[in-house]
Amino acid sequence: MKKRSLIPIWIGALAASFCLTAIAANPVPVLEYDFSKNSNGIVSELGGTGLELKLGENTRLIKTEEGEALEFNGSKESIAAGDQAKFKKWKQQISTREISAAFWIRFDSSIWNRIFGSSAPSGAASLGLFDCRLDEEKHLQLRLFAKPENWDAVEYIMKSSEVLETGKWYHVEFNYSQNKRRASLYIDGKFQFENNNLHLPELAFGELKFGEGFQGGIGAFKLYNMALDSEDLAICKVSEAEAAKQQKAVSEAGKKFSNKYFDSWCKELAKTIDLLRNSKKTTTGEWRRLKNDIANAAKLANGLANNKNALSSGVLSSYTVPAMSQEMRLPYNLPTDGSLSNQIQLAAALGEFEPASFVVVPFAPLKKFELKISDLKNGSNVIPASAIDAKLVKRWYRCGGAWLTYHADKRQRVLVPSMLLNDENLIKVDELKQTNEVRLSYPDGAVYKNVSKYSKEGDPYFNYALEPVLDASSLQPVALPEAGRNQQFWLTFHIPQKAAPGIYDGTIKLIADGQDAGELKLSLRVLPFELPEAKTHYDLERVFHGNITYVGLDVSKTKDRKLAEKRTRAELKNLAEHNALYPCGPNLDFDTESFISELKLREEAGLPNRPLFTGHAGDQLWRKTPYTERTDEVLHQCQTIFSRNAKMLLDLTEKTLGHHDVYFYGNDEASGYVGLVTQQEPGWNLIKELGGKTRAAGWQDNFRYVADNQDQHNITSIDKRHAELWHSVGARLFNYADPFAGAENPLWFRRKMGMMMYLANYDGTFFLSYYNSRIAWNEFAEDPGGDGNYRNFAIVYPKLDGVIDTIAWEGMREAFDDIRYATLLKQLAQKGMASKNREIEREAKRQIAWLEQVDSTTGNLDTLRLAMIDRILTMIELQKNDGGK
Amino acid sequence: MKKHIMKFSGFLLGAFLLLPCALAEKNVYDAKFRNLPDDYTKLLQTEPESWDFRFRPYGASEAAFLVSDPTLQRDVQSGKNIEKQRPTSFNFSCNEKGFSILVFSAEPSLGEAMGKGAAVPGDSLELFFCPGDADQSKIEPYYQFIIDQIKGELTDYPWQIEDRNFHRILGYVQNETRIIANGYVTKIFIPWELLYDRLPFSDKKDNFWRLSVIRWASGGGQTWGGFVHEANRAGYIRWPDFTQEQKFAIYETVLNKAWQKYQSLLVKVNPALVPDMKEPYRHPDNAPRSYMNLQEDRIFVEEFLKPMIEERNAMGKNIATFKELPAAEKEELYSHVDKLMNFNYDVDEACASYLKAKLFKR
Repeated sequence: MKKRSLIPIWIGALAASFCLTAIAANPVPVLEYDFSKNSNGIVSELGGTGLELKLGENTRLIKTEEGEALEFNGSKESIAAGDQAKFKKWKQQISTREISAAFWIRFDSSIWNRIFGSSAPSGAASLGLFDCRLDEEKHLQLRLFAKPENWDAVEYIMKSSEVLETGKWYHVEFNYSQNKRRASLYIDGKFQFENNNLHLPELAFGELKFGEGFQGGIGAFKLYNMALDSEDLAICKVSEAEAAKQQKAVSEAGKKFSNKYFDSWCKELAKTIDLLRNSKKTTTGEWRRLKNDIANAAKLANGLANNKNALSSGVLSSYTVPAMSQEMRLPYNLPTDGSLSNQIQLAAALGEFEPASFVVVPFAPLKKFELKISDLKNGSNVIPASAIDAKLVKRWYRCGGAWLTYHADKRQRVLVPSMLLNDENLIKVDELKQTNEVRLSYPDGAVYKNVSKYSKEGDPYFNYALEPVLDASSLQPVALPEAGRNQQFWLTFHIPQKAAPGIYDGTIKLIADGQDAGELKLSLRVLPFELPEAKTHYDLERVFHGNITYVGLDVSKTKDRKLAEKRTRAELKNLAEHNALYPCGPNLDFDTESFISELKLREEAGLPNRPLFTGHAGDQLWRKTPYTERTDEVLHQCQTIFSRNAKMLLDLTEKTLGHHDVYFYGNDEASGYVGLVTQQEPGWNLIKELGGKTRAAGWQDNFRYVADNQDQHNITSIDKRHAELWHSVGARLFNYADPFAGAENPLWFRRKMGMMMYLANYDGTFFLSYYNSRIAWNEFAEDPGGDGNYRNFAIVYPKLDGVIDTIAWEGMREAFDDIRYATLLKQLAQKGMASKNREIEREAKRQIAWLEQVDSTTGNLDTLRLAMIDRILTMIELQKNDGGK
Repeated sequence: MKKHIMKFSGFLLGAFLLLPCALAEKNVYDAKFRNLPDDYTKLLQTEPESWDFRFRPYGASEAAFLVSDPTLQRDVQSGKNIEKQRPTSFNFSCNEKGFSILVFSAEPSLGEAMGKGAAVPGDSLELFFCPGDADQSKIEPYYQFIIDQIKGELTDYPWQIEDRNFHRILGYVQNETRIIANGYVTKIFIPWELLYDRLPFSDKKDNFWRLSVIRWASGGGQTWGGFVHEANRAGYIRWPDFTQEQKFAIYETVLNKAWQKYQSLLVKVNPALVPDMKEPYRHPDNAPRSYMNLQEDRIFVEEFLKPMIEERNAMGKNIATFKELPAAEKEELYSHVDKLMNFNYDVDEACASYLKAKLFKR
């Protein structure tokens, strides 16, 4: 997502004043010469740096089709130079980590022999900051200087694949990003070079001196301290026909739909078409974005024309969208799976958390956009507005692979919707530099920390348990800084357990800069039932477990038990509310007091505390000795320690909870006989003798070698055949890697963790992980202790007093809710099948037959949910009419 | 003088060290629009220039990470310069039906193994591809699959949920491996209908897609263009400048395939399977409250399903006579191809509207 150059500069200033997302301003060069501002042999720098260029006696100012340019004849007298002392001072403030540049160049000679300072006439264009020359074969070479401290390179060369002609003007564009470790060169918008290796040396600028020993011309020079894509550097000549086509599209949009704000937006768009058409500086990126805006305006006009069920009279409109969608809500993409509507409808069971979502599209920049949610009413029954939690969906930068996977492709940075925030300014996002900063609210003032810097040496990670990352307690006014730039909002309805069933109505008033901007109508159907705990598809008596790796009560991070307990309490509540009822832990490694304390906190949060997935493999000391060297004595010593620790854990659990239903973890991702039997057997036999249970994550080998000793397996894929195997020996099967946390896509989690696993007869999920306690925020830095090319395995982000939810985490909740609905339907159907009432018996069978045919891989899950509700209501009604039998 | 010598030595050292930097550029392959001969293995002799041998050893550090990839256990060795012993090359082309990747995997011990009656040495290919280039900040789902060249088995790893905007490659992609005297030639064919909404008709000056072809062989991994899961380190395929004739030939192929897909999706919900015979049990007083099959619900059929089917059926005539349509009508017809490809998703959404209306009826 790049700058929005179309709208006048004042928007940039406006945005800067109230919004911490850098979106609206043009990418401003840090150094720019178009050579049009000159007098008495002095060329002004356009950005106000004061770095003027003094032309040599033989430097000629010429006019070309592309604007003014300097012409050099290769003599010393034709150099254009700045004040080097001033330049030196200036360049100290400019980071060379992320740069890009664009300029016109014409070579009049292809001979270059400037090595060792020869000043013979040549085709080398010393731009001072870097060199640009033609080689013997007339390929362009762009030579960037490396900092002297780079041991492995004196310069970085990018060479064109194209052969250039002398006497002809070319527009050169390049970018260089140490964050993405990508450098690329384009000429006239055409690809020439991109690095394959990852190592890019630190750069240094040369002198502010153009044209030393160079025969040719240089025009319109722009240098940026950000690595822009080539389209934002390449010049676009907008044809008259193309401009006319876009003018027609804007005009038609304006005719189709009209209100004063929309009209004004269309006028701005029309003006911008002319502006870009007539400018010699228009870039391909600017023009592409303008066309996108015009297409959006046309789409909005089509959707709003004669649409009585949409917001159409004010400064904005709104799309009602499915909350659980694979479609990314990006700032300039209108939803394709939603509708322009002023109505939001949803159905939910008693006690359920249910999401809804809408996307607001303003027709003018708004400093302060607010939501005012009313109570929901059904006659005299009221659900208070406080039962609805409104958040904005924050987009921020993540590595390539974001939205899709837990694998990291650090060559790319992408803007992705992810966090649910009350205060959008908790995360400051720069869409030009592609960086994220998180706000730390210290008592003496807020400080933003960059959490997006690439670094080989890792990152000075901050202690999330102590650093004050704090969100507001309710949704704060949001800036909508640009016409056409949308913002997604997220509503989570928590249905009171005792609410009377029925349809409740309410509104969300939209307030734009203090003015009424319309209202959305809310309709909530409260269903006459509660959802049971999720049970497996194959056995209604067996629990479908929401098991997630979780740090738990770790006092060592805070050195303050009360503070640690406070955040743990908040986390456990959050886990319980998201159906993750069986988090791993507590961890006895911390200390006994914390273990017992966490069990109590879990109970307080409503977690079942049975079974516990807590015991771990850390104290299987015999594994440290190669099994070929393992003596009986060593084994015995190690087993004694292991047994003591395991017994302590079981005894503590028994004492605190009255049971010792505890799973102990074996060797992680082991395979083969040695890994699974030789290494695990010494511990697992003891566990079994003590009355504990065994579990591990791995592959098919676990069934092959330890099916006789493993009570619960965690496999990497979803496959009904695996479930059948493990169930055949009475064990349970969870899935742990399909997927891991990482992807932001909520539908990915809803489908995989929900109906796909359910219908494949799995017993739950062993999910990795809640958040990454080591690299909680920055996934761009190398993480030497990590597991390779992965992202940070987080489905929430830690803050001082709990966690920040994400749309992916909401997907997990819905996954389990789907299973809970399916469980209820099966429970009712099972009861119905035993009925003597033939109508009920047949309906019950129909529900089962239908459920068995559900397509868990491609079926629409919102439709599935509605169908389950419809069928549950049918069964409840029939059974009620039959006297509840 | 000493200063100059130092400067000169520094330059030489710099130039030496710089060499890999300067040369280490991304692989780019120019794809051609052409039909492959039936015996495509002969292209190695007849068109050696169309094969790209620029495979690089899969770096040791990158390969080390793969051990920790739990979803997939690869037989990974790396870091050895094995490309001279077992060179690998590939050839990329497209026609109106789709695009083809030919991979030649030299296997010097093939003859020896077969001569001894032993199993032939196994290789596998891992491929990633993704529309667009790395010069963008846009998320594009990448396609990943692995082919066991001996068994011919293909396993895919979709990174999106299947929906109207993402179709899984399995069921579309075709592959075969032919054994030749000094190795294998594997042909991978991907039909356009998989990517009907991402066809390579970009208006960018360089119309690139990202492609990685990684060969896992005895002795080490080799890669043309990148590393596992890192789509933006992949090499580039530059598509040809498609002529209008070629573009419309592709449209026609996709429309016909989409029509076939629609027909197969229609079978599952076709109301004709449940004729409305006015049976007594369908009287509202006796009717079931819910159905096992969507097309049994006559209200849904009449209000939603039938109009949807009529709309799509009407496209058939134009598809049949596609060649005769004016260019603008061809474009217009193609803009509706998703209605055929995604009929199942449209039915699902219609069903949601129907159920929601029931649920919120006052």
